[in-house]
Amino acid sequence: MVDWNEENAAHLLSRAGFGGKPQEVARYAKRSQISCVAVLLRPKPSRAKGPGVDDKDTDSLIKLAQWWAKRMATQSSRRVDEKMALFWHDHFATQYSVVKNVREMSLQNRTFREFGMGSFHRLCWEITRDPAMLVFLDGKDNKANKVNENYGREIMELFVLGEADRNGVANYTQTDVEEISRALTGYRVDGDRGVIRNNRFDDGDKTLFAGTSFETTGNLGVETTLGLPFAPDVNVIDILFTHRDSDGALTMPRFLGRKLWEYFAYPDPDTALIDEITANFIAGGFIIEDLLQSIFMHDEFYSDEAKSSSVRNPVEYAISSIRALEARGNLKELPFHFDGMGMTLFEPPSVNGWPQGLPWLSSGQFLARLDFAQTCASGRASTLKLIPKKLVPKNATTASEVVDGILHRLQIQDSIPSDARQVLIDYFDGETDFKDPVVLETKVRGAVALALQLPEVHVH
Amino acid sequence: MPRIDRRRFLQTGMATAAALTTPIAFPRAFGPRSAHAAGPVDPIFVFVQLKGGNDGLNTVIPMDDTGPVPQRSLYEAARPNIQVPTSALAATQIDNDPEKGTALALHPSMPEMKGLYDQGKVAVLNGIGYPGQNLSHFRSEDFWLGGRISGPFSGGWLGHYLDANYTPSDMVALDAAKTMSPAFFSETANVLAVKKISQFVLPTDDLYPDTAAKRAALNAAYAAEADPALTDGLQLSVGTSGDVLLGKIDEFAAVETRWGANVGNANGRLADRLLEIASVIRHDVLVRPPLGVRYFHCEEGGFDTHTAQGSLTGRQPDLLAKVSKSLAAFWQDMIDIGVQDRVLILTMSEFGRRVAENGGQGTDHGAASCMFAIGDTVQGGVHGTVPALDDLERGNLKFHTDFRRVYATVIDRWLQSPGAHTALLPDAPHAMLDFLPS
Repeated sequence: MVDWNEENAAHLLSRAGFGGKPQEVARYAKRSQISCVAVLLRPKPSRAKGPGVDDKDTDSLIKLAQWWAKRMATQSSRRVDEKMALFWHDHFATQYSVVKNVREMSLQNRTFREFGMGSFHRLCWEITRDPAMLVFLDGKDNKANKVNENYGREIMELFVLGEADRNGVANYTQTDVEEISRALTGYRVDGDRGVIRNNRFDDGDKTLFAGTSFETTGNLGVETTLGLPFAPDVNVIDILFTHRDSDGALTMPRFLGRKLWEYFAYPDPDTALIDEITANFIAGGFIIEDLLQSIFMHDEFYSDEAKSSSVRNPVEYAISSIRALEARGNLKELPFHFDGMGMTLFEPPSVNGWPQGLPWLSSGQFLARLDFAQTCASGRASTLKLIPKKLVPKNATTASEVVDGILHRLQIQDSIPSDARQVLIDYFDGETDFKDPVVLETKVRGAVALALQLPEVHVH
Repeated sequence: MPRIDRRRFLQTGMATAAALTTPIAFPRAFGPRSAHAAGPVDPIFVFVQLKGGNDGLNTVIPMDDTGPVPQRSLYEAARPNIQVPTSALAATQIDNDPEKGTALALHPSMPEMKGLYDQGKVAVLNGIGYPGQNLSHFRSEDFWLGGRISGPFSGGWLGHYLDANYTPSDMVALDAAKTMSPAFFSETANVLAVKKISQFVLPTDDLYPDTAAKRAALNAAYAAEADPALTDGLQLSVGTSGDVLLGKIDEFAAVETRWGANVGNANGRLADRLLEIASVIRHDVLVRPPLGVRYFHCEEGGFDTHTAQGSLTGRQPDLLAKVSKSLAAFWQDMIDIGVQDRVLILTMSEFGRRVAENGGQGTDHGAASCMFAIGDTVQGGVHGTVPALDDLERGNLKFHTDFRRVYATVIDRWLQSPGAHTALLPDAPHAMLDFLPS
């Protein structure tokens, strides 16, 4: 067990959610680790759905993005749901520019929220028949004798198995792509969901993973025309979940476990660690919440490496800054900042999602972060309001107290080089009257802008 | 702060200053400025990516059955809906297939490219691919952008080139894109990745600017963050590239942006990006000292035409038209500023597409495809035969020329680093191709 203290509580809130204000961190630090994790994971899944009922109305796509951004910035008891919705949006990446239907994007976003913490089997099924996905990866055009391989390839490569295992052994062949695509034929979009049309479904025998110990032949599919799931022995989602890698381990848990670990902790974890955090997930029948619980309870999750080896994505960067500094407002401009920083909601760059890590800090996007920092620090409008007086510790008489207060809110007090801290203090240029509005407006806001522009704020 | 395994950086996809597993061990003897008979002084290279897998067979199209393989008949049989009729191809006909003798044409949506071809400025490279074609966009892109076809992605082929020839404080490459292309991922090189040069400014607080003091503080803070004695790991690497970037802001702010008399009038993403590239090239012609930016990347997306690909018109023809118009307009801009003898453009795509069309009047992922090299000194014409349509591998065209030979030729003969390709493209076939003069 790790020492449960403010540093670890802040780390849990930063990774499982989008950070918190100092009082919140202090509150979590006072509870036990297990009760913190339990309280974060406990809420029942939310069915909240965003605006966007008007088809092909680009205004409402912006409204949808604004609604979600605000939710991520303000949700307290359901913060993990929103963090996971963002994960699934990257994992099952779908582009509005192809789907061209706000309502369908909104429904998919609700699916991430409603099913994103439960059974991974159910989530894969819901995504397979998700209208936006059926449009995006051509599932609606995939029919008997006229197979379209687009979704069939990606469900194996990007959603469930990965292209190859850790030994570099391919997880499937081109024949498997063709066979699974046949099993996924028949979907059409009917209202708010995908349904199977009998005359479009290929009901012949298909063989998946020929020549392996988990080879399966039969009239494979996903669901019937009545929307009832195929039995596990002929259900392609179940069959994908039986896939084993060249070590003989189940492929899907390693694939998903690794990806979640990288999202929540650090890149390139050891396989032994992944096997540890997926044990309960496997035993419990692939419930995502179990996997999250194992991650957040693992000592390695609180290691130095897990606290310093990932680049915050733009949403994490902006929202954790807003939360830590207790900025307020309708936040309607947030999606535009996300866009500038390279993370346009509902428009990932490809079905592979956003490139993680240092690509987030490509120069143009890095400059957009500096711009967000300035916008946040100088927020005086209804869209975003930061109150500098609030950031000055009570009775502060020196610039170093004010600077340390800001650094502590941002949880970078330990990682900032002392020379950089001194730069922030020197920036006050001897001013110590923190009741003087000009000092508050110029120097305190200026120090916030500078602090938000430092490398350590972009790393966690 | 732990010291982080350098390998980890890379696997998160390193950009501004990326780290490699194994540093490339070869001397800096072959400076990129070293005079070499083949190419110009200070060559400029523009690497254009057609993202999604461009269908080469509807880009360079067989027109007849001349020769040993009835290419046209096989083409029509495989593509009942998306074939381009022979009658539409006369205006964009190019030279015959050098081996089979088949008459060939560019897609009719590419008249500007045909114009450049007629001037001898375009080398059409057919049958390009690699052994064991991977049909995943992402894996195949790793190979194409990394210049290596096995193992985990370990940096881009242009990134490796920059590492070998420049120091981290040089900023000689521009990716006209929001997110940097993996082609530029490197160990130490700093690459400017920005959609618009005009975005290259520092923000201010309009009400209480205090700009000079803030600017000085930001520079001083980043100097500390870039100091290996004070910080380490990911934080150091962000600090270092931020420090380099902040130091270049004023120089880049001086660029007159959105310049491009011709490409400025073309439409689409590729034209927009080429406009930024043209602006920087022009700046370096006019202004002393120049920025020295000579390596560029930009891309056009949407080539993943699984459905409704189109024959004469439609998704792929629209994209090819944009490529043709944009590149030809950019080329004219290069002529107008007098640098055409220093510019080489190379197009690539992660794979071609299935020969037979699918049920959605589109094509699924395939193998061999074509590339275009455009420049004053390229050997214009058709290089390499279009793979035989009666000898497919799982329905896909068989490649005959490894793409890494194209890169090796560019490195040796255009970037003037003879021999460097053996280290930059390990385990690759290196035999030179003749689209660039030796």
